[in-house]
Amino acid sequence: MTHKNMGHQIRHIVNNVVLIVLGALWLIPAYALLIDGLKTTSGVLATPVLLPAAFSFGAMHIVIDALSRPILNSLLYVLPVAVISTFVGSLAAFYFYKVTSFLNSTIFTIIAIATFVPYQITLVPLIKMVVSLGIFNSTYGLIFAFLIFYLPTGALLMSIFIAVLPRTTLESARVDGASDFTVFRRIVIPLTLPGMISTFIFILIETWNNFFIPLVLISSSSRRTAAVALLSYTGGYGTLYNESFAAAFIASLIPLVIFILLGRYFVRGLMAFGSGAKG
Amino acid sequence: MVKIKLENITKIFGKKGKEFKALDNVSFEIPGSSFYGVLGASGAGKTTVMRIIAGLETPTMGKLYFDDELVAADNKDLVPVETRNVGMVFQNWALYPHLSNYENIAFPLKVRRWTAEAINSRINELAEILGIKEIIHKRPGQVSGGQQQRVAVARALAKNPALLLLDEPFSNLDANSKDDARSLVREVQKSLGVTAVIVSHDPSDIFSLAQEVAVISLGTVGQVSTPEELYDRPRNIKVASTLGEINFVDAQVKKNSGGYSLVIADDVKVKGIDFKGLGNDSADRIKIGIRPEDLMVHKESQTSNLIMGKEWVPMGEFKASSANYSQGNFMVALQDQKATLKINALSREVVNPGDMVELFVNQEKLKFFTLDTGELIPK
Amino acid sequence: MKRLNTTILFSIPALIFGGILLYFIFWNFRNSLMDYSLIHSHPIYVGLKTYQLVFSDPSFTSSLERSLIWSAALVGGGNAIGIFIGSFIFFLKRDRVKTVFTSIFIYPLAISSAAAAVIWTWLFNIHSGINTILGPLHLPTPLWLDSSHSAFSSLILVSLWMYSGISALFYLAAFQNVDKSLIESAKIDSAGPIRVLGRILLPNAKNAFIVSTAILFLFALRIFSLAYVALGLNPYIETAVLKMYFYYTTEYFSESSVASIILVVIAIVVVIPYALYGLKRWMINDT
Repeated sequence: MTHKNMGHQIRHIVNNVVLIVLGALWLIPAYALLIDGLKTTSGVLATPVLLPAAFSFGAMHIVIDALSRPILNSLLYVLPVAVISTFVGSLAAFYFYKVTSFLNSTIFTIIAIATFVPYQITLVPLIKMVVSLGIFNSTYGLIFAFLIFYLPTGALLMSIFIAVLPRTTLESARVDGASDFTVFRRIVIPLTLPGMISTFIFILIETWNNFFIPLVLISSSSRRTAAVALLSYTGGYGTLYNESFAAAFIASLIPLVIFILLGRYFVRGLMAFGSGAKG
Repeated sequence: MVKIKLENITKIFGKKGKEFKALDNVSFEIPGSSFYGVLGASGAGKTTVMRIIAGLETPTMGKLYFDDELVAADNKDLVPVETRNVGMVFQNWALYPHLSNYENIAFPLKVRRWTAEAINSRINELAEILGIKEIIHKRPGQVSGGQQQRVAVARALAKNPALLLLDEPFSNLDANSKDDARSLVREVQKSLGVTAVIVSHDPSDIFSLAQEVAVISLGTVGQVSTPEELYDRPRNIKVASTLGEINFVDAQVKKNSGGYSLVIADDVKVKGIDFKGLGNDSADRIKIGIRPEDLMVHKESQTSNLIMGKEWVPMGEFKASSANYSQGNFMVALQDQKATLKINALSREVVNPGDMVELFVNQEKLKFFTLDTGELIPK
Repeated sequence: MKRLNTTILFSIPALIFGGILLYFIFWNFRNSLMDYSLIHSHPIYVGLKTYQLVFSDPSFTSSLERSLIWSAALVGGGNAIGIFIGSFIFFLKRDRVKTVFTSIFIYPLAISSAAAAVIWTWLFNIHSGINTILGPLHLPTPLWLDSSHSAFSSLILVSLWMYSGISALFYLAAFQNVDKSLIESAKIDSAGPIRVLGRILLPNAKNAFIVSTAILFLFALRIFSLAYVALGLNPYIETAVLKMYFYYTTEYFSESSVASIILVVIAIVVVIPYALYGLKRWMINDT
């Protein structure tokens, strides 16, 4: 009996050790993010990236100044997109849940497949359309472009969360005389709220971190997003890495904080995205 | 209060090539203010009938009338679900989990824009009748199955519907709660006078509540009559099976001086049958149907002391191959000596597998069916 | 009928934007059959000529090769690491600990690829990066991004760091969906964790494998900012997406469209079996 217990104990220890080692490896960039953004110039010159040095907010100050505009820009673009994609996406998901027909399934599948295609391929027609609509290099243009990709994503995610609602509950509401919008407002939304939060957070983080679309649609530096603004901080010879890390840290702060506080919703959103066409 | 009429209702599910006919030319009438039953096995189509009446499905062909108003016809819903004024209790009750019981019942009234005071007095009224006052502010998940069911009934009745639909409403309740629930529903229907339709696979639901019953099997109506009529004179074998457990055995009719006798097997003969419906040909072959509760089993040692009514006729000696105890009775599986027959009978005595017993049959309860069509031969 | 109309309204906005997305794909297809560039500012129809041009461009074919290699590496490595991490987390006892570790392997997804590129560029710096730790430990100190040979592999490693967590997540979820009684009866039969993994968990995680493979493949195809921010439009790391972008920046719009369509076709080839598998679930839901 004790022989077996020992085997179990050892297994558990090994299990934990392996995960701790791997986890530590995975956390190295986060560790670097923390300590290197807070180094002084002399610290940068003296120590390598992985060794800590004296504490200073100098680099952070400089970076916050430089990035405050891009971060505000990001918020301005990203929040409406996340809100609209989640809410309007839920409406669409509800419709597809309610009205099941061969046509609907086909349309749904086609759009779902389109969301999985690399979005960069829409580069040329996207720019053409945005320019011809006169919204190039503007807030509306970026929000418009984001919606083209993320509204279908929102609908796809919400369709997964809505699919688990028991049909009889919704039918009961119809028998009770409720119109579709009432059913949506009073039954679907309350019952899918965790799913809506997951979708919102997933899209929030994805759009915040999206690099390509703002890169091609925004030309003036005053309107740049946080992710694109990082371009100026890539290592080149002579760059001081404390600013690079501080920039990476500040630019990632909002999604990281959301991830830390509401991580389980993000994870649920990821899982739903993976279930994707599995509806 | 509303009268319902189904006229040649056919329902086909699925797309070309993979079609499934759930209902085929179903017609019957539900009188206003009556308690009507729709009985059938799972998959027979009874739930589809209910959903069509409610408006959750549209009949592919046929017409549905509410009080002479055409409500659905030929793949079109002329009156949508939301305006049919039907109250429905789903099999799983379908209560809104995020709302309290009070808010659940209030929901249909809020949709109709009743004032808060009107809603309050209505819910108090219903809570009183259905005995759910104490739990009215709890959530469905916090109360028992029986209480949830009463909340569901209250919600269905809240808007004073013209029709109350009950879809296997008691199947999720334990045996004790079922009886209470049935009485309650019966009382409520009677006092409110609302037309009620109960759909179930359990004959006890039908017998305790329905005044008239439509038996559905494989999408068609087998028979429409009162529960007693269905039980005693089922039109055919299908209907007889739907109403409860029944034994079927083939038999040959022989006429002799004392009347008729039925030869079921070499060693199983039932003599002294008083039976006029059989033809003059004394060698008819028929199928006999007899329910376990219309058979009596006695251990051999006891037969000499028995006093039985004239209707009980001996069938011979059988061996018990297994015995199940259920709700005060033993359901015994019997085999004749040559093991050619298998008959299930009810026994009030303890019977163990391997026991030899004497089997008696209540000849008045014997049902005769033709061998080829399975139709009832009237007595 | 009126009711049906209002419900359709629910779907209109999503259909519009989804429709635009589809329109873009078709526009690209049409444009790929044209000659539209700085030289021909009015597109003219040339059929498959632009395709021939693109395929005979060695920098394109090598970029396509690189994309496919990246996808294969991410799929292979990501699945392997995902199964490894997923099973180790699965065998942990306490839920709290499980959540913590899951978050550790997922957090890279919360960081933008651009930020990751900045961080890793410095971590890969041969003077001040991880080589400063590897050296003293007598471990190999590769040239990482500084060498044309290892730059590509280095970025693949970063993408493994970023995306293996999502694979682990899918496997973990699949393992947790396995009927506990199966695992318990195996334990009663004295099966060790490796046997449980091989005989019970993995066979029941076919879903996770399919989803993980498809997602990793598609994520690899769309990698842009990681490479771009780290090394710009560098021929040693140029993937098909980067090439497509290069064509655009040099105003070879039709060539860009050709590259786009090729990527669409590859993506569809990957997504379709995975979607068909999911469609079957829909069909069952319909009836």
